[in-house]
Amino acid sequence: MKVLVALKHVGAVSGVLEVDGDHIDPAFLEFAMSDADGYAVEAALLMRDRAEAEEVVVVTCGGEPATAVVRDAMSMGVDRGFRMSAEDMGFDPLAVGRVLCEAVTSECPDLLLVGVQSSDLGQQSVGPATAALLGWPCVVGATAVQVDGKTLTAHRELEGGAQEIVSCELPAVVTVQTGPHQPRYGSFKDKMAAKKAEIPSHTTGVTPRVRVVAMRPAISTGNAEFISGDPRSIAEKLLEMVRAEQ
Amino acid sequence: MTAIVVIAEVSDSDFDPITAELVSAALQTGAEEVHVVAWGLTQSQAVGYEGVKSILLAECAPNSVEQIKELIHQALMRTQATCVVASFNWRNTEFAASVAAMNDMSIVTDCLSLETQPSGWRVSRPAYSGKVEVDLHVDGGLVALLRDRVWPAARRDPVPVVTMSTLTSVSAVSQVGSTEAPRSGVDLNSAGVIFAVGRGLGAEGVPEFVELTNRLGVALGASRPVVDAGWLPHAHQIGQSGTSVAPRLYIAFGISGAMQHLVGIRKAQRIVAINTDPQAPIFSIADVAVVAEGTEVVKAMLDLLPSS
Ligand SMILES: Cc1cc2nc3c(=O)[nH]c(=O)nc-3n(C[C@H](O)[C@H](O)[C@H](O)COP(=O)(O)OP(=O)(O)OC[C@H]3O[C@@H](n4cnc5c(N)ncnc54)[C@H](O)[C@@H]3O)c2cc1C
Repeated sequence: MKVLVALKHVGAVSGVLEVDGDHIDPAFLEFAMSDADGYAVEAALLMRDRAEAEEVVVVTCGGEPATAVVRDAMSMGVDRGFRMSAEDMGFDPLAVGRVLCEAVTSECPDLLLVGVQSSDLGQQSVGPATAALLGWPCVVGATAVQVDGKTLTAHRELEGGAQEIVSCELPAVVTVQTGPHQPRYGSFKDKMAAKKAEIPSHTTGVTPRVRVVAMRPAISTGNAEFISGDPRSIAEKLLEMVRAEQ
Repeated sequence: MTAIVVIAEVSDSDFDPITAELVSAALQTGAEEVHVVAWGLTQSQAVGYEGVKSILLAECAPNSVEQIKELIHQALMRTQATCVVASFNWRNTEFAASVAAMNDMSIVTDCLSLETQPSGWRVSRPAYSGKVEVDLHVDGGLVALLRDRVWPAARRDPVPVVTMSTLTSVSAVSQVGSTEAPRSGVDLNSAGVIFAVGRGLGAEGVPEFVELTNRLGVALGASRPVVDAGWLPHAHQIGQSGTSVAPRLYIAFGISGAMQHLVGIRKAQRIVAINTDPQAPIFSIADVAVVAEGTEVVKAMLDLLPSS
């Protein structure tokens, strides 16, 4: 069985940001693999460890800098990875889905794993969108995935912490939720190989239908009363609040 | 003519109050027609809203994502709607993007505004973990999942109810078992004061935080990453996939304020947040905002509290 894992290179805002019209100056962003995607890679590697999968391949959609997440996954131990070269379509999950369909057509995996949400946008949509475009069944929010022959079984989360166990036939799409199986650190050998690896890229003809027209810092202060001071004076104020309620 | 189909939320044999917000959001877009799609209600329970054209009522197998998709497709065909509006919750994210894919529409979730445009829709939503708000232009049809508590409630008013035909789709994914949320001695539901720890305090910060809650005699809560990393058991997790709480005082240390965390603390009377980032989204709902190193505040509080 072959598993394809889709990865997103996400930008997190570090410090106090400034917005420039319709984008953020990349100097304010720190890039990394999206949280849940690391768990998707781990889920795939666990399947390979248990000999349910023979090969784990990763793909990312984006510009040249996005190859960093392919290398990250290779240093965790995946077999290989490639990039679908695309303009920024992060706000259009269907466009990403169309790109992933192209990747699926060329790789023919039995299982496509994606993170349940991206840590920058949290749309929770790429997995279900891609599944619908492929006509494959989709399991959303899995914390454990297992394959036996052509049958997939997954533990998936429901609201409030309850879980259900579901099954479906392969090929399928599973969106992986963060959970107890923390992404592994790869071996020294994998890290070296990841550094040196050629990361192939393929062009796509997909254009997004959702575009950014403006961007601004969110008004995040609301009605809060701001208190400041040294840690001790803050500690005293907090203790007062607690005692008033006890 | 622009039409919108609103997917109702139903609870206790009635429209859930969120439905009234979805309807008013749809009415405010400038669309000419708003229809509400619902299931799990009888005809007499389906009392509509002022300004709504019709309620499309169906019988849908409980939790059948496939039948929900089929129903929405039918509703779109019938009304010629170019936009589907639903609440941004866990159930809806399971079908929303597929509905968009199947009906050649786009999807945007966690929308904070929604308007018609000559060639599509204009929406705004958060980006970069809630630190930025973006305006998006969407070409063509749109499935929009809306943030709740942004729009006012529409007024109730009876409208015509149309019964939809029987749904026949069967899901390719079947349930083979289920487990309850793990129970333990942690009682967050009745706690008057909760101290909650987030990823910002790091693995090293957690033992001291636990010690602090012990000395203070307050309940201990956590965000999801803290539980995922195994720093605390799941029973402490607050939010969409944990517990919802209603303390008189909620103090969050190193928690950014993701929507999935905030839904769990809606009923808290007073929210205090300690965060190093002055733009942390949690400050938007906090009553008291403290910009500080969480670990240092924890240490200072421990210094003020003698260990027994
Ligand atoms: C389906 C689904 C369900 C989910 N359910 C839940 C749920 O039930 N509960 C939940 O919490 N999350 C849930 N999440 C995850 C949620 O989206 C967020 O990822 C999570 O809430 C973030 O946790 P956090 O705030 O602790 O971490 P982060 O978002 O990483 O925030 C850390 C914060 O700490 C601040 N910080 C850093 N250092 C310090 C310091 N020294 N002192 C003070 N502050 C500091 C940072 O500025 C930042 O604001 C769910 C996600 C999905 C997709």
